[in-house]
Amino acid sequence: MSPTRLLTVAAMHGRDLSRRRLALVILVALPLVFYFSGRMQLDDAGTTADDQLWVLVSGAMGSCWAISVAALFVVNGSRRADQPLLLAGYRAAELLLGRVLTVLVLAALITPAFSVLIWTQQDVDLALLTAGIGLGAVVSVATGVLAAALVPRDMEGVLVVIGVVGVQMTALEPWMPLWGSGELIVRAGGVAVTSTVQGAVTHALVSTAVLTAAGVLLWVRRVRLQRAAPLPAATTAAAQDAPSVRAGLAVGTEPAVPAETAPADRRAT
Amino acid sequence: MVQPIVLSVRGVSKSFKRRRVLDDVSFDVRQGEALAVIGENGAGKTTLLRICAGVVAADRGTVARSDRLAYCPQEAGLIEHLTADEHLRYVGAGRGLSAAEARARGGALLEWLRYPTGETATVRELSTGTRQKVNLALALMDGGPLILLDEPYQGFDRGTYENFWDHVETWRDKGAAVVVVTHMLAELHRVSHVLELRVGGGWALDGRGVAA
Repeated sequence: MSPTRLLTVAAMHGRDLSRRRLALVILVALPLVFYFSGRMQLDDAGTTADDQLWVLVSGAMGSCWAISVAALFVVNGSRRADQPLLLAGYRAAELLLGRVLTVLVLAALITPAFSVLIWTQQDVDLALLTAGIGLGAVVSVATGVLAAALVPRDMEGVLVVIGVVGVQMTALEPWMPLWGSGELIVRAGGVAVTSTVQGAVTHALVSTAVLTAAGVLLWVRRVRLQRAAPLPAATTAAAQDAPSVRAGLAVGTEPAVPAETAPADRRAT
Repeated sequence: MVQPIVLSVRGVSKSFKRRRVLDDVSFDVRQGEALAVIGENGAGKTTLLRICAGVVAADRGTVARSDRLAYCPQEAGLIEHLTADEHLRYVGAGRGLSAAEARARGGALLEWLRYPTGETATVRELSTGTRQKVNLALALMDGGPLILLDEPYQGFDRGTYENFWDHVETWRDKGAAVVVVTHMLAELHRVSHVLELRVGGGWALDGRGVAA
């Protein structure tokens, strides 16, 4: 894998993404809307620990959903260019990981700011919250990559991501990829959890590794080029002086090629 | 002297679900030759070119070709929010070119295609014909011995279109093998061979063919 090519892919998709201004606004606004709509309800109806936790988790899940969808769009958004780029000399893994790098940079810009914003609004452990949301972002990028690899179209991919984040907020949570980061976020909100910090981090990292590996394998399989057979050795110019291998039909009749280009026997070998 | 074969297609068949598109197609293209692939809509022209480029697998048969090739797909493989210059650098890096080399090589191709000098718009802001010029320039940056073009002149203005066919002859003279999918039957005198594909899988090379 070439670092130059990897960075070129990341830089170009970074430019592409930076010019999608409306998408970026929505990407930043979505977790804010999730979070502040909950906060406004809290202010009106009084505050319990569970309410505080719900607002915190829903904001973090909004952030994860937005980053997953960004990864999905960055990977899928240039799918018509994928195979021409492979023909141009890129490796499939370079194209995919370069795009992942783009989204990770975006996530690295957004998530700390979001953590600090929550910290100014609620009584939370900033370090744990940043770690939880940051790890959630990394898992979300891997989720978006797997969704992009599973379904080639954006709409179906978004539905897959909605499904993952939706199930994440049910009783099946411990079996979902965002469980580890969710545990850190809950712990940051001062709520006792049974998991350890180390266990939660390990869960997030293992989830990321599994999702990424599955995404890379599926995506590389989807975009790969067919290997061409080597040209016959007899295609050297000297060997081609024999007229029997002249380009032509695979049928037993003479093709009507112009006389000046047609040797005596124009049948295919 | 007979030139070496650059593309050899043998017994290629392809079906989509139960619809046979290509049936046992075989042909060779040599250095310095141009092959026009013609046929009505749905006859399998684009599928055949995609199989030759390796972006689609054939159900049966083999394709042997040089490792290096220029492939210009019918649908431009462009990234909507990048400029032509950024595309040149992106594709150029894949080919191991520095940014300056990519700009120089691709810029010359864009100039030949009469791409507007100094255009800084992203490709989503370009007309169909102008996008296609970028698509063709990117495909041709490699300068390989085999050039596969799928109706590359869609949306071209008249001058660029005529210029394109002049260049097909120039590429041939320089030793490249060119395969062009085309509906422009008036230009067939400019090619060495004509492969006609028929709906249902039949095909004919230079007027002699295989029934579907």
